[in-house]
Amino acid sequence: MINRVFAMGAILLISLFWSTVMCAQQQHEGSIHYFTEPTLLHDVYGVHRIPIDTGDVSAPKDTLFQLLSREGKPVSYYRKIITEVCFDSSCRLLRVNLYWNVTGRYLGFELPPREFLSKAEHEPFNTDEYLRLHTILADSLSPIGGLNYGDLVPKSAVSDTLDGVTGATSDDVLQYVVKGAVFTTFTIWNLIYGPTQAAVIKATEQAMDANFLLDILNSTSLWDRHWALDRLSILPGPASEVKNRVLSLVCDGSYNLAAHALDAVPTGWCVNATFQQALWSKFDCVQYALKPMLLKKIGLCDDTPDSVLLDIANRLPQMNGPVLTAGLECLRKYLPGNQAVLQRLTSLLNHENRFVANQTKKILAEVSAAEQE
Amino acid sequence: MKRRAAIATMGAFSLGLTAPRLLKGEVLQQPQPIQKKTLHTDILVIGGGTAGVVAAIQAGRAGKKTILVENGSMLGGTTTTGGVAFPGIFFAWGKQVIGGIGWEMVQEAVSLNDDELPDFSIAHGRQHWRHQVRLNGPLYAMVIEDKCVEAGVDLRFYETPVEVVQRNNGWKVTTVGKGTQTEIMCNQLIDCTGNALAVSLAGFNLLREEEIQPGTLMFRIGGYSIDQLDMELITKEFNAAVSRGDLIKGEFLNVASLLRSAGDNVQHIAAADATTSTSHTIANIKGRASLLRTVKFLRTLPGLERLKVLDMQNETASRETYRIDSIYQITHDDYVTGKFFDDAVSYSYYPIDLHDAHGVVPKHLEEGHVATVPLRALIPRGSRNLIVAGRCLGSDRLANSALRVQASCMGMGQAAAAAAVLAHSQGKTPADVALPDLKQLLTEHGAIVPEKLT
Repeated sequence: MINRVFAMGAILLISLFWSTVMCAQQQHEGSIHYFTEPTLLHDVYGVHRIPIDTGDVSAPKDTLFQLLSREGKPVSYYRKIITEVCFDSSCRLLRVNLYWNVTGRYLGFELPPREFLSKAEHEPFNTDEYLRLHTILADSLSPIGGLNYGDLVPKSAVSDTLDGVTGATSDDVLQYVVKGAVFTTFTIWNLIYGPTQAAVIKATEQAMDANFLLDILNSTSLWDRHWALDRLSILPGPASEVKNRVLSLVCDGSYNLAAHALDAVPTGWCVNATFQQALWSKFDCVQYALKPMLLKKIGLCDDTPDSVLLDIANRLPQMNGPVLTAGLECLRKYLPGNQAVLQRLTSLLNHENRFVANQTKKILAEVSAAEQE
Repeated sequence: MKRRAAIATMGAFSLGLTAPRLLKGEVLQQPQPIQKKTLHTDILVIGGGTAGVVAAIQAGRAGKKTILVENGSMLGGTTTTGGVAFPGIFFAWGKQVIGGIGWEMVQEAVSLNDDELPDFSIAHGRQHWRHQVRLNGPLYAMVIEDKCVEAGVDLRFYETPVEVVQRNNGWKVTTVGKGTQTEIMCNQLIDCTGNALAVSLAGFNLLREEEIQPGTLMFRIGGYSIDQLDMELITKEFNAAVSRGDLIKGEFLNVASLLRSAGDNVQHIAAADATTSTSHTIANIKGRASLLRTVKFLRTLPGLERLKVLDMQNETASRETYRIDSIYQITHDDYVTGKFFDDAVSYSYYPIDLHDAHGVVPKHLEEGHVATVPLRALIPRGSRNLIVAGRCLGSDRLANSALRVQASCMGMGQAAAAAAVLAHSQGKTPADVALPDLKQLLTEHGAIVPEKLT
C-alpha cells in the first residue's frame, strides 16, 4: 500500500512535468526527480509487483513495480535500487528509484527524500551534474554500453574496487560520464539498459492489445513509435485505427520512421484490397527514396486490385530510375494476363527516354521468355 | 664445301630453333597491335569513383548515351578501392539533405547486407560518426556496377585519358588502356577524377596547396586482445621508437587509437597524391612500407606478439590534390554559414575536417546550418561543355575539407550530370542551362535540391 501511494505520487509528478521534455529538476517533498517525456500520460490506478531476475550476483532477485491505468494496462515501471558504489577506498550506498516507460525507454530517476548523489570526496552533485546524468541515462546509444568496469580508469591508477576520481578517469571515458562520478554513472546506466529493461518489455508485450499498441504508436517519442512498429505482428487482427496510424507514419517526415513503417507492414494486411488501395494512395506523399519500397511492398501482395495496377501502369511514363524499375517489377506477375496493363507497358517501348524504353523492353522480354518455358 | 655444309647445317639447325614447337591446341599469334577505336557518345564521364558513378547513372537514366572511363578495375573509388566504406552524412538536423542516386545505392547496399541505418532523427552532437552509414565495400562495388549497367552506361575499365581536345560541338578525348587506344567523341565531358585530370588536359588552370593533406591506407589488424594490453607501456615504447626514428613521426599519431580501431582510418601518409601514376605509386609504396614497419615493431611488444594484418586495401587513398579554377569558389565562410546560392544544385553537410601533421579536430557546423553547392563551383572558368563533380570542385581549402566527403560528392555527381544532360538536349553549355529545368530534372530523379528558407 505504501509502495502504491508512493508510486502514484511519483507518476503524478511525471504527468505534471511531462511537457518539459527533458531535464528540469523536480523537487517534491525534499526529494530530487528527473524525468523525460513519458510514452503514456494515463493516470495511475494500481500497481502490480513482478518478481524479476536482476542479473546481479549479490542481489539476484528483486521486484519490478508495474504501474497500471484505469483499464489495467501498464503505464510505466520502476525499481527501487539499493546498491554500493565505491569511492577512494570507501563505499557508500546508492539508493535511487529508476523508472521505465512501457517500451523499456528510460523514463527518469528519483532519489528518496533527503538522499543525494555524490562524487569523489562525497561532494554532492550540483544541478548541472544531475542534468548531465539525466541526459546520459536517456542516451540508449551511449558508448558506456560498450565499456566494461576495467575501462573506466587507467589500470595503474586504482584497483578495481575503487570508484573513479576525476584525475584517474580514462580520457576516453570522461566525455560519457559525470565528471568525478564515473562508477555512479556507469552503474545507473547499466541498470537502466540491463536485464530490467528486457523484463519491462516482456511485461508490456504480455498486456498488448490493439488500443494499447495504438496509444504507443501515438507517443510523441520517435523511439516509442519504432518500438510499436516492431510489434505489429503480435496483434492477431489489428483494428483499422492501427492500420490507419501505420499508413500515416509511412509519410512521416522522419526518414527512419517512414521506412520502418513501410517495412513493418505485415504482408497479411494485404489480404484486404482496401488496404492495398490505401497503401498505394500514399505514393505521392512518401519520400522519394522510399517510393520503390512502397511499390515493392505492393508487389509482395497478391490479388492487387485492377484500379491500383492500372494507376501504377498509367504513372510509369513519369517515373524515373529505381521508382520505374520497382513499378515495372510490381506489375510483372500480372503479365501477360492483364491486357490493360500489358497494353500500357507496350506503349512505353517507344518512350523518348531510352532508359524507360529499355527497362520496359527488358521486363516484357523476360515475361515472354517465362511464358514460352 | 665443308664450310658451306656447316653453314647449311647451322641454318637448318637455327630454323629448327625458331620454328615453334606447338603443343596440341596452341595457335601461333602475330604480335597484337594496339586496338584503336573511335566511339561517339552524348556524355563522357572520366573517373568511376564516388561522383562519377552517380553522374553516369544519372546521365544514363535521363536517356543519354553515356560512357564511363575508370582507370582501375572496380567502381566506387574512395568508398571501395580506398576502403573508406562510410560515405559521409546524408542527413542534417533531422532532415535528409543528400538523396537521389547516391542514397539509393547506399540504401540498397545496407539492405542487402542486413545492416541497419543509424537513427537520423537523433542529433549526432559532436560525434558526427554516429550518422555515418557503414557499408560492405565489395557489396557496394557490385551494387553500383549493376546500377550502371542497368542504366545503359558503357563501362570502360583500365583506361585513362591522355589527351582532351576541344571540337566544334564538344570534345575528343583520347584514352589508353590495356592494349587499347580509344578516341571518344562526346558533346559533354564530366571530370570526376577527383584530381581534375581531364580539366587539366583540356588546358584549364588548377589550384593546389603548397602542402596537401595526408592520405591513408586502410587496413585491418588483429591477433591481440585490446583488454589484455598494457597500453601505457605500449604507448611509451611506441613514442620511444618514433623518437629514435625507427618509426616515422605522424604516420600513426596515437598507438592506442591504432590498436583500438584495428587500423580503421588511422594512418597518415604525407603528401599522398593520386593524380598521376608516378605520384600514386609513391603514395602506395609509402603507405604499405609504413604499415609493414609498424607491424614489425608492434609484434615486438607484449601482448602484440601475434598481431596480424587481416586485410589491406589496394591503394593509399588521398584526401586532397587539385581543385579547379571555377566560376565561383566556395569559401570557408560560405560553408560554415550555410550560404544559399541562387544556383545551388546540391547540399553538403560535414564538419570542417582538415587533416594535418597534428591529426584532425573536426569543427562542427552551428545548429541548422547546411552548406550548398552552386553550379558555378562545378564549372571551370572559361570552359564550354565541361563540368566537374567531386572533391576537385572550386573551393578554398577549408571548405574543401568538408566538401570532399563522399555524400557531398554524390550530390554533386548527380547535379553535374543533370546539367550536362540538359546542356546536351538544349544545345547549350552547362553554365547556361535554365535553373528551373535543372532543378526539375534533379527532383524528378530524387535528388534533393536546396531551397531558400523564407
